Amino acid sequence: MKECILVVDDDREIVKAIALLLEKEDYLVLKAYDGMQALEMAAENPVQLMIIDVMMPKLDGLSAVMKIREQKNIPIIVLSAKSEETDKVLGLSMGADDYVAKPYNPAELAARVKSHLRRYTSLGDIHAFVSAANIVNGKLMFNGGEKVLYADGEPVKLTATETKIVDLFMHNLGRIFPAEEIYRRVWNEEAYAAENTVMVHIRRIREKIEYNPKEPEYLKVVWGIGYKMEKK
Amino acid sequence: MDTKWKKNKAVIGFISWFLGISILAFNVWMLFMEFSCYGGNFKKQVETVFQEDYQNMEEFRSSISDYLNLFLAMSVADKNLPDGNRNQGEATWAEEKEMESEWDQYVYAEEYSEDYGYDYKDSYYWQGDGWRMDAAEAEEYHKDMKNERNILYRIEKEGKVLFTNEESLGFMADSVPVLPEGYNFLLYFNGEEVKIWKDGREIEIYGDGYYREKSAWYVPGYYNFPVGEAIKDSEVFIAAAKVPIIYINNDFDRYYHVYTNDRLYDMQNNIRSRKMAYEEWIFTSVFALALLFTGLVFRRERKAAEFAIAEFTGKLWYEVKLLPVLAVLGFLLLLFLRFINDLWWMEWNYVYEYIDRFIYYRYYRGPLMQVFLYSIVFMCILILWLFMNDRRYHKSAWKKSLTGMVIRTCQTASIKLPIGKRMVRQNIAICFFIWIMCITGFLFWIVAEEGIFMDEMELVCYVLLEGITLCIPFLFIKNAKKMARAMDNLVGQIQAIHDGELEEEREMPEDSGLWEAVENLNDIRNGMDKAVKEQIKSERMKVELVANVSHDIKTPLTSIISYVELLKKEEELPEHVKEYVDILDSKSQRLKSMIQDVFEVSKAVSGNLPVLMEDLDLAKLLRQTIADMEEQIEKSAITVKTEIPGNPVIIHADGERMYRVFQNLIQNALKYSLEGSRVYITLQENGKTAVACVKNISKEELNPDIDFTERFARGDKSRSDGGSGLGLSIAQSFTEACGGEFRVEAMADLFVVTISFVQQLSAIS
Repeated sequence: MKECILVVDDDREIVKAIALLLEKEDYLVLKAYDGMQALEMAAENPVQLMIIDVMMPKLDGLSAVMKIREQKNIPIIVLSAKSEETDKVLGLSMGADDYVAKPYNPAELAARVKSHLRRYTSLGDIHAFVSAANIVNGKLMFNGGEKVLYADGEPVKLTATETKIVDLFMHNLGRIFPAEEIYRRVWNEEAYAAENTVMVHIRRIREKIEYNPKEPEYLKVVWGIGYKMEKK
Repeated sequence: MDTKWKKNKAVIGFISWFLGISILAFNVWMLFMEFSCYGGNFKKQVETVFQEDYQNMEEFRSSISDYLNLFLAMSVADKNLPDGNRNQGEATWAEEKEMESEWDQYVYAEEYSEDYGYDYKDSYYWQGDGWRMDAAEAEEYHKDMKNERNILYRIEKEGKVLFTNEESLGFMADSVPVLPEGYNFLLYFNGEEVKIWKDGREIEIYGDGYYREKSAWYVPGYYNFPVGEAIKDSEVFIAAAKVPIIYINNDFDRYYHVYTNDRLYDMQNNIRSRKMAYEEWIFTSVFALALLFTGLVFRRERKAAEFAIAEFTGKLWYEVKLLPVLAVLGFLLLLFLRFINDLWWMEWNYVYEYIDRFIYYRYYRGPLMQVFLYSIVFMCILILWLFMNDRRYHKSAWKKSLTGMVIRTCQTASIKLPIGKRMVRQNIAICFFIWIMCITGFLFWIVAEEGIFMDEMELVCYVLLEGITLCIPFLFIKNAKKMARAMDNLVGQIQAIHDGELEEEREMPEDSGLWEAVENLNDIRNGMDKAVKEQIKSERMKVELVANVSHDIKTPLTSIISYVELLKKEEELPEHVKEYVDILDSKSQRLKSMIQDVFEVSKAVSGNLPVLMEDLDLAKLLRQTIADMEEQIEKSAITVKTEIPGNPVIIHADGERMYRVFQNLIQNALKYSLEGSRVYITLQENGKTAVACVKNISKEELNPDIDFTERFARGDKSRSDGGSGLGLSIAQSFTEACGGEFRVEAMADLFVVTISFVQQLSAIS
């Protein structure tokens, strides 16, 4: 059975473009053009994921999200031309699961949809995975015993060094590591030109786990201080 | 041990040098005093004292002369003297002594009569050809003197002995005098002349036969001082003891008795103590020279001690040093004046008396007095020396003075006051000065005019006049206060405008003279207020406009990008159409980034850019940025050379923003550098500022007139390359939002961007 996705935007061309994008990925796409319509469609259909614009006539996107949240636990991706940090924080605190700024990168949007759906449908309750061996952070899960990193439930192929780095970060979520410390703890050597070496590996890990490696959400640089794994 | 010895040497060197100088100076002073007071022949004086023979003293000779005159008077004592003659004596005696002034005469007469108890005025007087005396008085003298046997005498008249206390005085054959045991001096007056034998030898007394002031013996027998008619029949023998001793008279009621005929004993005593003093002088001088030598030996260490002392005295107020010096100099001036003219200022005579006592009586006052005198001299020299020493090491010692400090404190305190208050204070000070002048003038005038100042009406008039004069400055002060308030008000308004309080309207009374100025200021303030408000409004509108426009552009752009993406996935498209789609793709991506840049730069220039300031390591940030951009750098035909210190260079800034700044700069450098050239990224720190520098050689010729940080400015005007033209503008805005300084320089084709930050002291843990 095809997963059902509701796309809401007052710009019909954008709705159509997203629909075309997602249909290629073999999803069933429902279209709505304002907030009220979105609420109706969400009530009538077994929607499993929703992509919604903020500024719309009749009922704005964030209000619609709040209303839907009262009934459903489906993943909601907010799609907005407002790209400010404050807008993102507002959207996420209103009940959205994700916030994508316009103009979006279609491939990234598709990846996010896929990720959210997988976590919502196939994996079920995320808390079921929480155990002594598993560390869960957003879409990432690290099994400390097997030393395997899962993204959206699928194992990520990492080299030995990359695994060590991920191991370090996943066990210290949110902590900032200077490059020298990472180097010392991963390579077991005194740091020399640590910045470059560490950065190369981090870039490679990002390509494997981030939606958009150029705007990382998990493995971040704290400029002038070090590196950290963002705690989700 | 070594350093201790060195310290000791310094102390010894200093003390011995100082004591040596002091003692020597004191001795020189004493020498000067001694011979300026006694005058006469230096050599003779010293010889006399060291012979220890009191009979060589001037004082002895004049004393013996006095005795002779007294005995001669006794020899012709008259029982029936007329009373009228008695007062004559006083005046004649005074003339005879040739006193310099009345004062001296008076003092002399007083002291003489007090000390020796002779009542010359009544009993002993000059009678034209010689001294005269009452017969009863002569008896009295004889009674007093006969038991004090330091002087032996025999007085004869016409071969008859009148008075004597030693019958045996006389001559053996061949005119050899007969003297009792213990006596070595004999004076004989035979009615014509005086003969003197000392130690059995006759002494020449008359010289060439004329009496002069310098003649040793004041006795009759000179051509110009002949023997008087009355005493031609008199014969007098006087013998003096070799070593005088004290004879205590039975009559204790008269306190002067002990002194009466003990002048010889006093002389003897005097000469002894003076000899002791001279010996002491020699001894102390030798001692002082030895001390000076010690000081010379340790002179290097002494200098250290002097420096240490100067360091201490340098901390004192100048007045504390100056006042004692002035006191000492005053004292020395007094001494000096004493020697120029001892009657320079009559009222000060009592001071001189004290000084004279130091000089004359020091032989009689014992060791305590000596110590006291020495300590006074030490004090004087110490004070002078300390002052000189201080001057030597502190050229501008006078700057550290109490007066200066008070004035400076007042000045700094008054600077803090508002200008009006200062004006009022100055006015009050001037008024007080005028008041004091008036009052002192008035008082002075009262004192000066006391004699004529009797009329009550006049007094009332003057008091009224003074009152009015005193009121006028008061009126001035009142007026000045009003002016000062207006001035304060004006200054306060200017301050308020400077602080940006443009809303508040200020009032000023219309009669205050500054009213017009305040009105004009209000106009300026209103104009500024309006301009600032309008500017703020337009800035806000600009940001809103940019935000709205960028939002409005983003929506269609989203469609464009989405459909281009869809087109890219179409497989049946012809090859040339695919090419078009690629162009559409790249241009739409560029449009996207440009919109983002415009939005950010507009926020930054309007001051709406949120920054998250924290302490971070600029060196690390640069290394991270370069590492992050490594792929781009490797792809380009440019080499990046870095010179970044390994130690943390801590600044306070927003890491994300600064990353964007350096990313932009490096991207620019990669994009616009001459191919094959090098980009230099350096970071320098001096503990206060951290300076990051990106230098590259431009591919195109740089136009020196372009301000590169201006928005949309680029080296060439074609705008055909990929950038938005906002890179440097964003970099500058972000840097300045983080509190840094951003500078762009173009020297020929060398393009230099310098970013400097204040360095923080705290280290990142």
